[in-house]
Amino acid sequence: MKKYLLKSFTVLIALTLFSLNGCILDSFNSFTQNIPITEKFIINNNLTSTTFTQEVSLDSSSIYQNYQDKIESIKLLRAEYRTVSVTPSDLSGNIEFTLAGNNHNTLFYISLGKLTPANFQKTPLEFSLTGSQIEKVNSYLSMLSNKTFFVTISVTNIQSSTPNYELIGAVDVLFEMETKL
Amino acid sequence: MRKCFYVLILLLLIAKPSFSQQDQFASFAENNINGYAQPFVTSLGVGLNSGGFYTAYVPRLFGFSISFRAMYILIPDNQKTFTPTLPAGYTANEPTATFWGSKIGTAYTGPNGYLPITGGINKSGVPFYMPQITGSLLGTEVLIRYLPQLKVGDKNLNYFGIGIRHSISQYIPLIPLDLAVQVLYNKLSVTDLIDANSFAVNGEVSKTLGMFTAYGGIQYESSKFDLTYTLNGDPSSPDPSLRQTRVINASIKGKDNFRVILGASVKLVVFVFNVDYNICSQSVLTGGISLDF
Repeated sequence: MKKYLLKSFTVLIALTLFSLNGCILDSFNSFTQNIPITEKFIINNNLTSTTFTQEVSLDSSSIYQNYQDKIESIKLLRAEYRTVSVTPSDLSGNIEFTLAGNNHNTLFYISLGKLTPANFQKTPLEFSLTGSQIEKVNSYLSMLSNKTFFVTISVTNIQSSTPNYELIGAVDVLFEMETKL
Repeated sequence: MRKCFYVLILLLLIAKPSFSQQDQFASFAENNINGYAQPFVTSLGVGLNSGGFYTAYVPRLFGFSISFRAMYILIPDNQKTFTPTLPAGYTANEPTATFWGSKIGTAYTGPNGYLPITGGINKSGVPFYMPQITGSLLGTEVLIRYLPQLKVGDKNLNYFGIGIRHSISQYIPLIPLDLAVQVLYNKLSVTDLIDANSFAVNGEVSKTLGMFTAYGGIQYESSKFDLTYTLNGDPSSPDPSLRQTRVINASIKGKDNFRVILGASVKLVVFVFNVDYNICSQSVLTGGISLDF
């Protein structure tokens, strides 16, 4: 009788453990991490307008590299422009930003209008991306092999109090990555 | 079956810290690990300090019991977020997730780009289990919680808990209630990773009518968690303290200090079923099944 009671007791406890543990352990099946990617650019000399394109890859992020074989999904969260340094401080111009996929198809284009970069050294300028722009990037990222982007920055109508100027700017893009563990 | 017990307890006590060591904690430096991990440490302390009694009656001659305790710890919303310490030029204009908080952490913006903070595991409650045995003699009871040393990967897990309970009502003639005091100490360690200690002292009261017992108590407690993990350095991080890969040693105190316990139990032959609610920093619902001789 005593043996029987002890066995029943143990089975009951084991069943409780199994049923309760499932829900908490599920939380550890996935892990969400943000990946920031930064692309810096330099504009100088005496140009009144300039355009350049650079290739960036999620591979440049050490966070991405650490988890790349476990990635379940990647999504675009937001993007911003910031000024690293600018001389003279009254330099201004119209800035346009295009993000394209590896086939050079535009994923989104945004015109920031006429900017004075000195205003964005301490506080970056957040891009106002629409839902459809974000969706287009996410659709591109849904193919996990798509990890390369082409960033095109176009600056026109550059005005400055001195003929020689230098602007070092940066575009930061923030992605959210879900990994399976 | 014994192995099954240990494995499942380990899943709770070990799977999380070892996972955390690699992923959850690995992006926190000394400045923010306390805010992020403290609610987790509190949960561990609250769990270890729960389920110490289900009656204030301590047999005056001899008693023995084998118990299994299951707790469900409720994580309050205010312990799911914290305000991080950020480098110069960054403002924590909104809180970010703690270990129990949202899976999506907050990314702060500032002069050196986005500074993301790792999110949590998005849980509002966590189960916790505990096997224990008690033996009593002449109004004093000793409680033992123990797991033999277990190897988990390249780590060794050690868990031990001890409690001593003494009947006060035995000194007060004709008192219609049972009164007791108890001291509890638990130690959980995983080689080179975790060294956790918890301590509790409580006063208990109970009243038994037939097979039913109503019980309650107040408890002072504390918990401490020494954690060792490797920070995965990111040379491009806007936060200088996150740029180098290095080992972090953090000592974190739980927020568990005081609790009120209210519960009831029923005894059917040698089985005792009990349930109690603990009002504290993270409230706990405790259930227990005991073989009580």
